Amino acid sequence: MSGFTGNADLMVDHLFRHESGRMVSALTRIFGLSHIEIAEDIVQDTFLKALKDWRFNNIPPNPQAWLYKAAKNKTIDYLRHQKHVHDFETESGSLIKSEWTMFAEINNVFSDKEINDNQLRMIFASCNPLLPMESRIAFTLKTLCGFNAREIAKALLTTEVNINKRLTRAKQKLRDNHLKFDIPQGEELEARIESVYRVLYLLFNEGYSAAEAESFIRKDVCAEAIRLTEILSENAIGNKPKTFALLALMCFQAARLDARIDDKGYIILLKKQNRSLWNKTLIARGLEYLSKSAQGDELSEYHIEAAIASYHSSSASFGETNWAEILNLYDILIKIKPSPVTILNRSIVIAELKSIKEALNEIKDIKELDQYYLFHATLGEFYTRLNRISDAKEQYKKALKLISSPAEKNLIKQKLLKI
Amino acid sequence: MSNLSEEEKQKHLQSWGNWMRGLSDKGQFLGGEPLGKEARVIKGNKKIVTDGPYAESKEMIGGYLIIKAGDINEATEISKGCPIFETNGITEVREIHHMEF
Repeated sequence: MSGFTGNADLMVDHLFRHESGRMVSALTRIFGLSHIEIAEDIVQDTFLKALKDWRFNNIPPNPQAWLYKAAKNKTIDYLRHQKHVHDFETESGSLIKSEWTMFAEINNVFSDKEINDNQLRMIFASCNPLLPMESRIAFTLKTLCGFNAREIAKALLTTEVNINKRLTRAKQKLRDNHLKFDIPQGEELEARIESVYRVLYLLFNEGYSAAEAESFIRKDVCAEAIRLTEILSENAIGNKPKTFALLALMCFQAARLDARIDDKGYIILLKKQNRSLWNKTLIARGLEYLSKSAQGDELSEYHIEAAIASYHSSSASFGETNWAEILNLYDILIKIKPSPVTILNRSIVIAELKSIKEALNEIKDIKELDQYYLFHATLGEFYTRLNRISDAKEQYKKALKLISSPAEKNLIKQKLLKI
Repeated sequence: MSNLSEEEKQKHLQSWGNWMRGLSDKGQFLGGEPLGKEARVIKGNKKIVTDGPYAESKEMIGGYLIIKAGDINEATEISKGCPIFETNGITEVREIHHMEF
């Protein structure tokens, strides 16, 4: 076989997104979290080699196998030069110091059996509570999803300088604390898995709500959040109803991504979305995960949020939305996660189901949300519908001051114009 | 090794892998390297160079392992697990000697 012809640059880009996380995770088994930059350098070099090689020769028939082989060879070269200099305090430690066992050990960490396990270890490492939350998300995107600092900055709506700072800080923490590349056990596991859920949930939300990021970046972030959550669900540790609830929630939300933003990058609200653009395959996957989540006796916030999303997904039109059931779910959610944001979202359901006045009464005295633009946007909407024009304008203007995203600013400006 | 079928070779290599991984997991494997066939022996104050101690015989040193054991008897027992015996090989066990000044 002569392999594929085609654009080597595109192929390398595509593979980097899909394979670099696997490769960095495998190599971190060898070098340890304290030396993760060695793993990253080897992976980077491997892709540079692929780019050079594939531009002149054809793309090999099995590019993944080509990349793994090249990475293994680079690792062996590195170890041969460094083994009498460096001690790597990993499980592989003594095995990679001897020619007797070096090959077998490197093959082992790249084996099909270990590849997902390595990534799971990396997920748990990225979600270590020693790292600040914003570093956890940036580090996950970098290490597991093959995003570079520029792409992460775009996805998280910040600067490249900021992202590099967060990544450096994360690596420093891992080094300073000599953290092992292991999945924690016992009580520590219970706590860590909650952090994993949180990071995956926030990661997904970053992709979902970063309206002005280029659409492929948003979709990639959401797809990666789903992929990582699936890795978790496939392992005995994460094979839990709560994981399936989170997956269901992600699938239902991701199904609406294409309908949520128009060609100009403007947000289209649920009410006005073209429901035929909703991704039916993702909705079906969501329903499958939702039924898998209905086991055991833990009812998590993800269960409720997934159930709410499922009502929206399965409703043929906005008018036919089952607001009564959704309100029931919000009543439960408020007990599990009593936050002002939940109260705010619940009030929108009350507005649809009962009256604007009742909805307004639920939220108008919440002080904690004064700096939250959606609070003022919602008040603006309620006042508009009650024909209290000057109150509505005041709220929309407050909202505008709090928004940094152009797509969301535009949405509020449109509303102001229509009053 | 050379008279084994491909399948037997793979199986043999597998037992080496398993054995060494086992030693490593127990913290008994400290290092060591396989050695090449070609050797030079340098002898006496005239430093005469010849082609290795076993040039005339079929025996050769295939390599060495450094293992951790309580004493030479325990090391001998560990050595009995070595897959080299599957191909009728030989091991020799020695202690690393502590030099005293």
